[in-house]
Amino acid sequence: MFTESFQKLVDGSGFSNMSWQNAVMLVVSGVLMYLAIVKQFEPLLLLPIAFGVLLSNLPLSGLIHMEFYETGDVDYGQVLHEGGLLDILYLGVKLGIYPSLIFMGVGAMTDFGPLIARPSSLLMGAGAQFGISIAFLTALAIGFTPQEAGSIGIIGGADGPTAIFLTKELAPHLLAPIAIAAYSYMALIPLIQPPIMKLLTTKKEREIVMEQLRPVSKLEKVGFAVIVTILCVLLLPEVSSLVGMLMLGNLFRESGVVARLSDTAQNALINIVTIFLGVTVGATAVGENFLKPQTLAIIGLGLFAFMFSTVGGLLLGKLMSVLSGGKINPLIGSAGVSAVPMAARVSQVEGMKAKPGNYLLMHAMGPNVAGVIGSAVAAGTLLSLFG
Amino acid sequence: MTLSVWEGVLSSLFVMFVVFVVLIVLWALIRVFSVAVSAIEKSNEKKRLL
Repeated sequence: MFTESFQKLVDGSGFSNMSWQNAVMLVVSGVLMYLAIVKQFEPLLLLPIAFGVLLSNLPLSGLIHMEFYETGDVDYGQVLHEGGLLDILYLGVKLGIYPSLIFMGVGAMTDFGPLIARPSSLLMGAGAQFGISIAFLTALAIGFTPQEAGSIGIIGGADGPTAIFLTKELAPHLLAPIAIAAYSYMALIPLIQPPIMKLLTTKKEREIVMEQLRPVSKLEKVGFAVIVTILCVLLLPEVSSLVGMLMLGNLFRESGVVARLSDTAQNALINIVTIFLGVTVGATAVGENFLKPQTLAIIGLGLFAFMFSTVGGLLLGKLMSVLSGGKINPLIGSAGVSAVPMAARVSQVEGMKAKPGNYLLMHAMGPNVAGVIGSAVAAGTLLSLFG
Repeated sequence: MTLSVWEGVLSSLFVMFVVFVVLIVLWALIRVFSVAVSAIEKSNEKKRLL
């Protein structure tokens, strides 16, 4: 009897139910934790993602059941009655709540003043979505479906919440590799962008000193939030939750009368949602789903998307430099890749290398935040085409 | 759903087209709004000085 009981205990444990795929994913989790903690690659997202990967690849934990989400229609009753902790928390991703709340925090943290002072920055933000199209076409050519290709392409928008928002609609089975690719490459922007910036610009262009931006009034900033919301939501209703929450957060900031709400949105709320989003997205990386050749393809295409988005932004920057008679430094074009504020900082660093004392950061913030709007518009368009 | 190569190219061009159009329209609206705000603020300043 004792032997039988012992056998039952062993058979019922996670150890005897672990597959080789789970073991590999535990190693992947370790690598992601190393990148987050030691190398400090986007630790705010990568660490919860890494731990989510760990939790979901410990068999029989019952924390998440990917079979609940395999079909397009989710049985929410089943999730509530039979689901584990991460199943319940994952509903925030499935229902599009977390990306929108994160965008509210992003809006509360973002100063759109440089964009309003030089609205032509919007063109560079638009150009920097070029990588989305290139990655989309390449993914289609490799054999991904249009929905999968759209989700992979949006990595080029360099916007985590937007990528998650679109992927959970178009290709939820690819959520884990796309989220991991998107956030990893955002952290690698200081490595990815500079060689492309040097390749596509001349030394003379990199040395251009730009005029100081005009001051922007509070009324303009408040009006901007309302105008963007009305325009984008009317044109692309699919993206209303993302753009609406982005501008609500920005209105909290710019109105100056709801400091507590602004503070909550950019601190407590975004931190809480980041934890839930990261852990649950990571938890979708169950070995059997994640360890497929297409995961490697996604990681490669993600890099492709980032590179071509940088190219697109730079080319628009060069065009605007020519059209403005040399007043615009094309280095700020690469900041249209909307990893705020990392891409703008890279423009600043490269500008300082070309000409010490040349401060491009505030000028680069214009295209940087324009890229956030541009990637949301691109996501809305892809959703309307393939959703 | 499958797409031919041509349909894929058209789709990606369409996405870029929409992004550019929306952001250009936004650019125009911001310019108009900024000019209007500037005019209002100048008018208010004149009234204040009078």
